[in-house]
Amino acid sequence: MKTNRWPTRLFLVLVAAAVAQASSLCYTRADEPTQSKSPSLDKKAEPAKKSDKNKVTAIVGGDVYTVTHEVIRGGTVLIKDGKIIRVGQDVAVPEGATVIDAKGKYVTPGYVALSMSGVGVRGGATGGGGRRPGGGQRGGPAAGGKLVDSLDPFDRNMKFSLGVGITTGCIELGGGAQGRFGRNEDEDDADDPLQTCPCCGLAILPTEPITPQAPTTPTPRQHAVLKMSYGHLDSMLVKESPFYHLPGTGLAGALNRFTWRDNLRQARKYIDDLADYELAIKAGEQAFPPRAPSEELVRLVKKEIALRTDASSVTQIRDMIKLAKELGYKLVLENAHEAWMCADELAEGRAAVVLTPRSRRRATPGHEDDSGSSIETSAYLEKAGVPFAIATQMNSVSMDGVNGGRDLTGIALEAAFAVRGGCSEKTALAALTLVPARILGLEERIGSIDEGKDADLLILNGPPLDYRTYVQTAIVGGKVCYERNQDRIYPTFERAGP
Amino acid sequence: MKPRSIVAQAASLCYTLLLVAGTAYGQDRAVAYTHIAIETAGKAGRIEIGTLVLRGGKIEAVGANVKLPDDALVIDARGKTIMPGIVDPFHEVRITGSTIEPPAQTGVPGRRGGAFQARPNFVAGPFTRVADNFYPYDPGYRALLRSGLTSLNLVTNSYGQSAVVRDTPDVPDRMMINPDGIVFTPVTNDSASLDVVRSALDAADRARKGQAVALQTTPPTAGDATPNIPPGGRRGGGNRFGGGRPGGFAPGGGGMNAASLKAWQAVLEGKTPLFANVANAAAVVHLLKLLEPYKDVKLVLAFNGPGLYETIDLLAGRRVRVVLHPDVSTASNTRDRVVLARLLSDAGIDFAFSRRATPGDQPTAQEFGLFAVAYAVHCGLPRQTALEALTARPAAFVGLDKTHGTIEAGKTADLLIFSGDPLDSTSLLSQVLIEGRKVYEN
Repeated sequence: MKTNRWPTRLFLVLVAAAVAQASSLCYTRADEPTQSKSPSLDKKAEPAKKSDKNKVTAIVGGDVYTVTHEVIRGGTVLIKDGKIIRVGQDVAVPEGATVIDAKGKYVTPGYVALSMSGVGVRGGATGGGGRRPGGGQRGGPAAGGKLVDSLDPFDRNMKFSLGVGITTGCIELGGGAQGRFGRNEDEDDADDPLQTCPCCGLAILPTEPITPQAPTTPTPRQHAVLKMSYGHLDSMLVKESPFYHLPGTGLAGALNRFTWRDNLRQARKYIDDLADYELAIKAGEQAFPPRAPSEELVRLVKKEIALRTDASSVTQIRDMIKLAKELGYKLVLENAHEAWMCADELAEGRAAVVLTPRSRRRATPGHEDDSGSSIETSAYLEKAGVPFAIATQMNSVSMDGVNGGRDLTGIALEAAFAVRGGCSEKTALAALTLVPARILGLEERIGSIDEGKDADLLILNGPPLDYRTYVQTAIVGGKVCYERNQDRIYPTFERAGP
Repeated sequence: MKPRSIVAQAASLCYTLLLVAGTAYGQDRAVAYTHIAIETAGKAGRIEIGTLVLRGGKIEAVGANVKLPDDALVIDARGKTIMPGIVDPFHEVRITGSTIEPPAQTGVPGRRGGAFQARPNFVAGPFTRVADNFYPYDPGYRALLRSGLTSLNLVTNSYGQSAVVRDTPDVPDRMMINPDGIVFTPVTNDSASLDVVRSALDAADRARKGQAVALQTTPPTAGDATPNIPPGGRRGGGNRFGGGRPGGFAPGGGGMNAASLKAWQAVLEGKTPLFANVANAAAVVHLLKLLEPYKDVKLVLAFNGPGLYETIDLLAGRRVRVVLHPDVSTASNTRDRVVLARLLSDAGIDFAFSRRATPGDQPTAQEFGLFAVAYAVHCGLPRQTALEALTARPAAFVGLDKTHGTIEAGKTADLLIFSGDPLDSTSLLSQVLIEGRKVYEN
């Protein structure tokens, strides 16, 4: 008898379940999807991943700014496995390709920013970490931590960067966000040569310090090159330590200069000793390896990376060129306000410049009469053949305050100011793409639309240097990482008419 | 730890026997609630008008047509609704010396920059067994009954092994259900926190393969002598009993002792889940990558805020479960409102609600009751899922699913009686029963 009751019970349970289902539906709105009680494994994700591998994406109909070649009107760009496989006007789109229509739009390589901080690493917009009273956040791994562990593929600052076209950035690690070259608002006041006495209102003339200034230990600043591949951790880290970055103060003064020369001498000695050691080991002799100085220093001496430093006045710039020539390393100069006065010397010294056209320096009255910054620096550099990259005044993303518009989101505008200063649009676009890529040693991978390069591309709704232009789509490594209409972090209106 | 847990289990068994015998408390006599709406949170779903029979601290029968036992005390509860007691799968308590203290806020109040809430730097402290530091006399536990919380998985915001307790502050000896709970650890995108998981799983893996693992001997923890967990709102509290810092290892939690090794072996073999208190979406990606070689690990992500929605596509293909606050909140740096619970539900990801209230937030958390859950339901989360996420699912997460979480015959009578629909903000929680005994009445 007891066993006979089981089917009835089962039936009751089923009925109860059905009732429960029905009653639960009563409380959800009609348009809601029905619940899935047990977590079902995703059916679509796996096969989609596999077919992604050999899938071709075609960007069709846009004006393609290749940077290395002429503009291709109504061109086609084919992408496969994250690389550009074909570029041209008469490129057939293979069957089954995903087609992105860029008719009437502009296709450029993704921009490369050399001065960024607090983007894509711990301490960015979502990461946390301490916040400085001055307003910047720290970025980068905590002490003793590894950079790979501190990457944040969901940092909102990456979206803001993508939204203005930056697809690759050189991120300063461990530093706070600041005006580039370590300047902040307080120092702006010190810049003013004519301070007035608070009690009598008379001008206080600047005097030399009485005691010699203590030398600062030159510790290089750390950088890493990151792709803004939002949501994709594995493709983010491109390169660590692309420079040996010493602030200008680290090379000023006799003691600093002595330390610097000595460090380089030791690095050179290490390379020689290492060669001797390897020879000795090959010959089967007993030998001890030489003590290694910092890896970056060795790479600097081997000319694998450049010294990145800042030099504002023409005297400082000449000094840096001379020192680089003497000690034999590659040079990248930031903050070179007076580069226009010595463009030929920069060209001869094979130095590269990181230019911020809207950054200013006033000549010191009585000391320098006709120096100071010039909007025309870009034209002088172009004429002399000095490669320059565009950087913004603030190296972080800032949505408010006085920094708004001069932060990373103004990078294309900054390039437009280079054009205003007299350089060609082509040079200005190269200063956003190919030149910084070269400075980072990544010209084989990024910086132009060429076959075999990474598919880091922008689709713009206007010419690249027009202030009205918005990035419509940003593609990093063949993946769409930003869509203006979906991400809605910048205005999404449609401009009426041409 | 073994003798301790046996003693605890023996004690618990004794109490259960007493309970069944009906000499301590609970009713020998059956109690029947009739004409009551029953949210079973189980297979039976909602029973509009039903009968519920309790006996000896357990549910004897439930259904629309249940024959009343002859000896039953019958309570006509017309218009009321009964649901299982709420299980909080991630209830944070403070233990001096093993809790991450929030850093001082340096942002200027009122400025938009203040949105960058200073998070604690996720540096895990020493491995701390919550059960060893359990302090049942804190007044905070009584307050939780007002919110309908009957079972709690006690964790800290740092690193250790949880303890599962029932919220019966009047009978402190009966509170502990499982002193050997679940391993929890904070994870963010930095090496310090990821290395805790890496090195622990590595050690557990080596131990499984029979290789030697260097164990640190545990200094006697101060918590053994002077238990000091205040769940209530005292910041940095717990010092009043003179409780020192629980002895342990260098910050970073790298060292293993016998207790932590045993707990991590259970994690490695999938016997207990791993509760990762993730700080942001990036931490999820790093953690999933790190757990790839350990196929048996059952991951539960405890997450505060809406940021997890970024990783839903990643989670959908895996057996990852989520503990979240039911809040509908705004995604960072956007104006997008995110109903994370609904997104998870639509993607078929198993999740449970936790109030995720830090000790300081308890008073606020208690004022709003189930409003956040009701709002999530209003935003499209299926109602049944919402109720399960408060009861049955968290019970399963913390290993209580055989005894708690649903209203089904044979389960423990941990029940909440509301004056109306629990998800209606005008309803009042009128009674809380734990093991059939009334522990709170409004």
